[in-house]
Amino acid sequence: MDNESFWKLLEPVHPTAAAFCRKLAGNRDEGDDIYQDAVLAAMRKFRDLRDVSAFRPWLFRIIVNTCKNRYRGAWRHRRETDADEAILESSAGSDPRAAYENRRLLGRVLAVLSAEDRALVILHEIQGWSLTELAAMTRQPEGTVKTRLFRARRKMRDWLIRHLPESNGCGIQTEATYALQGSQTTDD
Amino acid sequence: MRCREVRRRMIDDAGRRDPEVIEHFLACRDCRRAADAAEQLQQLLTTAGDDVSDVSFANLRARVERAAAGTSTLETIMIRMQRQYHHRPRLIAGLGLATAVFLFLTLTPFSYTRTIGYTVTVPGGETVGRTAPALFTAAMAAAGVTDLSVAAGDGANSYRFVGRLSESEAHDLGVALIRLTGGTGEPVVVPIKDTVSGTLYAQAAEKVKADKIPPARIHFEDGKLIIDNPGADSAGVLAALSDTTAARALEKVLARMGVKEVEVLKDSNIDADDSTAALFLAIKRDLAVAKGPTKISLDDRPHTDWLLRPVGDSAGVVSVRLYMEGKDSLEPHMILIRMDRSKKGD
Repeated sequence: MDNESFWKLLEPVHPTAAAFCRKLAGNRDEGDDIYQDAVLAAMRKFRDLRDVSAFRPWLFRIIVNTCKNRYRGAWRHRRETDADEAILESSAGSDPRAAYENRRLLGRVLAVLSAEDRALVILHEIQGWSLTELAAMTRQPEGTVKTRLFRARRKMRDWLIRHLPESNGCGIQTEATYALQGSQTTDD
Repeated sequence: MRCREVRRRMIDDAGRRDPEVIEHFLACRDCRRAADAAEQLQQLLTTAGDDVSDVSFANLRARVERAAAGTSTLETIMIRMQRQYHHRPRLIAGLGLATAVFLFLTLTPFSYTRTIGYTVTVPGGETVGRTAPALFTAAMAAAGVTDLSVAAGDGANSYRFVGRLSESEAHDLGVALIRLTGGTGEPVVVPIKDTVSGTLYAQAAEKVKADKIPPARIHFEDGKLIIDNPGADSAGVLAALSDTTAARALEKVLARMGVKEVEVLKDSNIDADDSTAALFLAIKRDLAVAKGPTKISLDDRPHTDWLLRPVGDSAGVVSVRLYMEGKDSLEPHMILIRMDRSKKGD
């Protein structure tokens, strides 16, 4: 298999893979660097790929490994994107400031996970990969992937419990709203 | 309803809207916060959206192919260093500080004391002879030890050995001096210290330079001072001998050197008044080539010194010079045999 085949296979996957890298790194520039390194590594290893149909999980596995290697042994690396960059990057429509806050918060929540678990959450929860596809990428049984996802969610939720105020204006319900819901339920 | 059951049910939206669960939330702050967090997490993940990157595929391909084709090693190292700087600023700062401290310690000169030799004082009240130190140095040189000089010390019977030798070697040299002069007792060895100014780098360079030349191993054994000098092309044995044994020893030495016939000439350049008596035989191993009978005739009359000259060209040895001082047939004598590589008749 030559390089031309590689680029043909990469082209349809490119937009989501590049976006995945940015989310995985939590930073636009870092993500693009990781993506470029991963593509370079993938191109060099392409000859070893036996099954072309497995190109996408194979490529994403390389991306996750590249990210892991980049931050191996380092203190947890988080570089906040600056506001303007995040707003430009945001795809949320009407309220760029709120979208930025949400994106920033999501970045902080994802940062509590390991690179591998972060990749699972992003691919499953955001990019909509099935458990079967994740299992193919990680070369682990579906059950294991499911457990890892569950634990990752719980870890992120615990972080939110510890770090968020009871009401932060981002849609979290307060005691009053529950009381209201409770009275509505009783009325019904 | 117990908290565990509530936590189980609130995994999905429907569970969180369950009246029983909501009733529990009103009473339990922890579960309420857990539900809030779960909902917020879901909201964050849902609204994050599956972005599409604006990275141009053509640009990416060009960059990757260029990197694959021509990334030099230096370029790779520079890129990695740059990344390290961004990723581990504290580590890089620490390394920078360590480098600065290392350079400061290495390149800043400071005074230090080093041992440059030893003063060896032998028992007895006699003053060291004028020629003894010079002969000793010459004998050592004949044995290939060129980085050691011997001089008369400040006190009586005191020698200054300056050069690369250990304290034990200095001690053995002292013992040899005592035995070769027929004395008894132990020598007193005192290090000679010198204060110099230099950087750690200069010290290290000096040590490396010194280590390149293997030091002569000197020790006194069975009445002989053995100099085993693997770094030189010759080795020597210094021994105390009487006249007759000196003759036999000379025969052996010269036989090993391949000298077949020797004529002895008198040389009056050496001062005969020195009372120090010792015999130094320096043997050049690498000259033992020629074979055959050796004929040596030594004059048994008192002489200050002799010049032994081999007849003919014997394996490169042209002349053997023998000095004798304080001759007395019953006492040990100081004889220095030095091989000169000069041509016959020089």
